[in-house]
Amino acid sequence: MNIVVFGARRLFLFISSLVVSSAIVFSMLRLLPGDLAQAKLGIQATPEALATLRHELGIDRSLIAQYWDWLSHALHGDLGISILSGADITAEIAQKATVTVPLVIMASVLAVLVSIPLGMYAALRYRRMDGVATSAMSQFGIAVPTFWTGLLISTFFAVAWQVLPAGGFPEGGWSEPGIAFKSMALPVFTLALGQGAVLMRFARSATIDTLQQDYFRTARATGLTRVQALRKHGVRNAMIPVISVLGMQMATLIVEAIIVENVFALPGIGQMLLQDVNNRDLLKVQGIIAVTTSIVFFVSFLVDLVLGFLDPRVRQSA
Amino acid sequence: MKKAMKGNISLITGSVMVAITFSLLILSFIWTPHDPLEVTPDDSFAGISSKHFLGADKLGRDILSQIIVGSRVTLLVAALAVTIAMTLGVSAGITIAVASRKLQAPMVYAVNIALAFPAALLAIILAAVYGASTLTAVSAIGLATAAAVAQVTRRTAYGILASDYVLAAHACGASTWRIIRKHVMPNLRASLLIQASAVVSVSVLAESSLSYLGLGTPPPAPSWGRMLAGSQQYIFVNPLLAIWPGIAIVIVVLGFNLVGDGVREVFDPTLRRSDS
Repeated sequence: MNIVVFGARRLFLFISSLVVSSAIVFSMLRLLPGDLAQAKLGIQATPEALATLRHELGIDRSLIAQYWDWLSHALHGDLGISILSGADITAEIAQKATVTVPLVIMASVLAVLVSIPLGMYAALRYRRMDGVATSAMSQFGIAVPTFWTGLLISTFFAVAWQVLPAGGFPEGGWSEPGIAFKSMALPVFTLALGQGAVLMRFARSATIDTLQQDYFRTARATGLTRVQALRKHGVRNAMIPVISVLGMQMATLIVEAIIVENVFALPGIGQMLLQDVNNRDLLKVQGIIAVTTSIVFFVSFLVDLVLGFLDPRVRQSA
Repeated sequence: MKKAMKGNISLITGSVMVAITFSLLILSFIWTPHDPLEVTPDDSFAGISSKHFLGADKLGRDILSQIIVGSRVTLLVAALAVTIAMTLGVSAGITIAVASRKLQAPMVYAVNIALAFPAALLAIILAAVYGASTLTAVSAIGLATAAAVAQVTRRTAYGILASDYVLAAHACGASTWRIIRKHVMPNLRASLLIQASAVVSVSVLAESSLSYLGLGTPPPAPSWGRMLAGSQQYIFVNPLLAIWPGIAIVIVVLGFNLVGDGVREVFDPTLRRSDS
């Protein structure tokens, strides 16, 4: 398949996923029992006051009109204002993203950097004790819930040894880089540990696959050692599944970031989302979910494009 | 069965762990050392003793009893979620596989969209609308994992439908329904078993995370995730409290993952020599 046709198809899937998922989220949040105007004015409000407020909030119109209104504003970067605090939702998300986005990026990079060499090592020694132990470690890493890893890590590093802060983030954010990086260390490590365990399994099986290929045998026949041959032919082959799995794992990664933020009291998007859920600030919940799902869909779109570009077989199977 | 177990370390270890989990569940209906909700202020943060085998929390509630009873919520959510995911996922997957080419494309699109949507976000939305409960957790986990099941089922079913024996059945005049029943379903069995065990692991992890965030089964019913959330405040006072429920979660998740790997090994002889 032509790369342009492939790209266009993926773009169509990306845009339609955005529209469909935002419409579903929108309608789910509007199916709420009870209505906003009543909640705001209390049960003693007169029907006239209720009607005026409903009109002001725009909730007396049809669902489709409301959705269209929200979507066209959202596309201009306007997610409305929080019904409870009156703050601009877009601005608040942008501010909190300065915590969440670096957290997710640093953790992904760390996970990739650790999982590929470890996965290759486990593959090289897969019938020996240390290889088996390495892959058993990854099995274990997958089974441990992220929040528990976080709890244990903060018990050791912050409570027992007191080398790093157990939580929180400096008031000034990244303008105090020293403290900011220190507060990020444990959360990034926690997030990377869980992701790395998943990625390692894929790096390992891709490498085992490479070891059995003819081109690998040819490389060995030219006099390269197993490690040299792997460095030349194995790393790239291990990268492909790791990158594609990382793309698929984006959704999980963001959700785990929400959990990690709560374990370490990081003032990011995840912590804000949970507070807004508890306050039933639905417009804000909707805005946050729209932004996070857009990022997830966008990353998987990018990953597909990159893989399609690198590997013609991906284009064929799409 | 005996033959399948032989030398299959994953299957043996996994089965033992799953057996431990179900023993906890059965035990929870027969006997617990204490009433899990019984508050005894004198035993606040009691350590390991003959009275409290695993210690007690701030209110003096027995940890072991809470863990035994906590297995109910974990396994209930997992069982319901796996039922939803397998029923929806398998029927959707097979429907897509046997559908005409024109209908296939939009259905595959729909599954792809559902696949990219994070399960926990669905749970958060449901909790925002209806308030957090076991039901919102189960529906979110079940619906979100159904897409993955549908995807794998569709791919496996494609392979089966392309085989010669299905072609032969067609030539003999077998109906689509008969082909599904006699050829597709029996050949899907291994893949379904592996998927079901994966869905159980995912559900247990998701349920504990939701409970930890306060979006799962509400108190007072003991749940492992909420026990861990409670232990966090007192991590300076009694770090041991943060250990036990976590071990329980890991045993269940690891157990079902290993059983899945073991089953895969049994049905796929090419894997038997490697240890994956």
